[in-house]
Amino acid sequence: MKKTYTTTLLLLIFLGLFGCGGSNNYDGKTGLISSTSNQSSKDISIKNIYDNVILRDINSSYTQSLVLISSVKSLNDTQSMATLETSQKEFKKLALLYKRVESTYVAGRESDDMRDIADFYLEQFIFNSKGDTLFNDLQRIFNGTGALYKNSHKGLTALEYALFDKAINNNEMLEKMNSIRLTSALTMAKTISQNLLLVKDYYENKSTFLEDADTAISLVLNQLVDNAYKLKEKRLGDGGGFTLKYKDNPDVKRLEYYKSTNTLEAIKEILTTHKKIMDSGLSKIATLGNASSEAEAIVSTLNEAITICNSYSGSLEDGLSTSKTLELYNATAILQANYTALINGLNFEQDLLEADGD
Amino acid sequence: MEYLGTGYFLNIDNRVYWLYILSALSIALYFIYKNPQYSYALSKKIWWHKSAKNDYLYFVMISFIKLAIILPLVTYLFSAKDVSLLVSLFLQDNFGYMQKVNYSREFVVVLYTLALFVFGDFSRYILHRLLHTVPLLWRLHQVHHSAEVLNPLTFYRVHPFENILFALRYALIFGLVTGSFIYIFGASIGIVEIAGANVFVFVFGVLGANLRHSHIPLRYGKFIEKIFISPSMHQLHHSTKYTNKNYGGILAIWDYMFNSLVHAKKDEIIEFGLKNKKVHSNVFNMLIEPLRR
Ligand SMILES: [Zn+2]
Ligand SMILES: [Zn+2]
Repeated sequence: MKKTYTTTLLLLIFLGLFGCGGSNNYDGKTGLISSTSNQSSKDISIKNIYDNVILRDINSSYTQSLVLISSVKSLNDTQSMATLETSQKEFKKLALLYKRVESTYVAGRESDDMRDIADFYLEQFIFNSKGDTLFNDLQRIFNGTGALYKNSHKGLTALEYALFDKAINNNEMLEKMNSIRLTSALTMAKTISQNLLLVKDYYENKSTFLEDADTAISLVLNQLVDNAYKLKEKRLGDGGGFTLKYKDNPDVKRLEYYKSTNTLEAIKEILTTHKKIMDSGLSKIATLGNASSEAEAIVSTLNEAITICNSYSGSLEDGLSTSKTLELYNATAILQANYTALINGLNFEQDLLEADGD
Repeated sequence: MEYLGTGYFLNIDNRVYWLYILSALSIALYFIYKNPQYSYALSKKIWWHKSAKNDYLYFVMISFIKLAIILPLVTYLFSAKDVSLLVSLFLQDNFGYMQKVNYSREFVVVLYTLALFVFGDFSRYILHRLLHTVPLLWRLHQVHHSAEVLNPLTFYRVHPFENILFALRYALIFGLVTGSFIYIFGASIGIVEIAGANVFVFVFGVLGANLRHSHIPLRYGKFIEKIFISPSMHQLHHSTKYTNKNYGGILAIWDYMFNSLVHAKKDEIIEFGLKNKKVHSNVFNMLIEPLRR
């Protein structure tokens, strides 16, 4: 009996040692830090995101800012309806391209200076009543009765006001285009362009994004989840009357680009940019980290939200109080939760068992 | 063959990783060199004792049970991943979304690793104490304490139901801590690692964690033993006399705070096993006996 026991035991141990490979299917890897075999695939994905989305978008934004400058110059020269319309069209294009830059703005997470450029000089959406103060200040400047504040002529929102006022018709607009307004518009366009150039230069020469894939992944994820939150809460919730603050009190004036009736396009641009990030590498990264279902949920919510955007017959400003807006708001709420789920999923690459006492 | 536990020796996250065994052996040899009266710790009497042989066989068996039954079961019931997501969404819903400020990643990683360690160790203390004080649980935990001699594999001499309790504890605590951190810091979290292992697991392993279940009464000195549980202190926990003391895993502060700390008296001879002299004569008995009656 004793002998059988010993033999069985030795046999089992021998078999075990003989059969064991190097891998272990429940080794306790946690965190976004992961095994080296996946590391190069992650590096490639991060590089793709950088090249195909971040760099490409800042470059097209900057290029478009130069086009805008020249169209505002023509407007200054001729003050015609045609040049006004061209300037407005080029402005809208720039605003949309800038939404792409803003959605993936990891620069602001890498460097405080870069964060300030976006927040104060390029103006990520003015969320509150600061907007009204800004427009009153600007109007005083254009009337020649106010002093030019340091920041009041810097951002996209200011330029939008200079070119569109408060969504008035273009005949009226042309009348309002006095020389102060025209030169201010040109200064604003130039300042925006200079700041975009700083961002472009940062991404091209200073960013540390490609140095460490795990840090880059965490920056991208935090940026996307924050951006999804702002999309839901500020871009849709406050305007549509879905947030606590403005419950059942929708108001188009709270929409980001109501003056240029460009808000729906801007939202679509944000959603499309998110999708590009997923397709360029984030979905791949999620698969490597055993979180492909979380990534799939994000992509399908993005598709759903884009479909809702496309179903508006006109602008969001016109269709704000339709049921579509609530649908879109709900989709972005799910999107935000899905990003949280992806962050969570990537943190638990494997099911592991820690079941021993002491 | 992983199902038979061999992977444990090659996995840096496990107590019996070969390097940790090697370092424990080195410490043991040095200890015996300094205190020759403990040379019996390496004797056949200890390592080929019936209780030790039971440990070895039990290790093979329980490894299979854990991988084939407990892991799928616990993952299905209650995974750390699910708990964590629920916690972060719950916090968002009730306290509002927190924008992901750019704290330095190093800072977050260190803080998260520390939090997992402290809450993890504390929850182990609580569960371990409950295993001793709740009669039904004590019946399960006696399997661990019926060992008459100690060796590193005694660590795994744990009834499967107790394994399930520890696994649930892990999912709960890991999930709670991770969910809270994701709520505040988003994707910036991560674990401080050495050679791919949690820094605490690694350091604890290299410093001789395996001696806790051995006959080498290594002590850290009175002061350090108020903070960390030394191998000698866990051996006291296995003694018939001090079973209800030193419940701690790595930290001794819980025992200190809740009055269950004890240090070895000089040259005190301790006897391992259960006060009621219960022994489990074979591995099947270890599985079945706690469930009888
Ligand atoms: Zn023990
Ligand atoms: Zn115990």
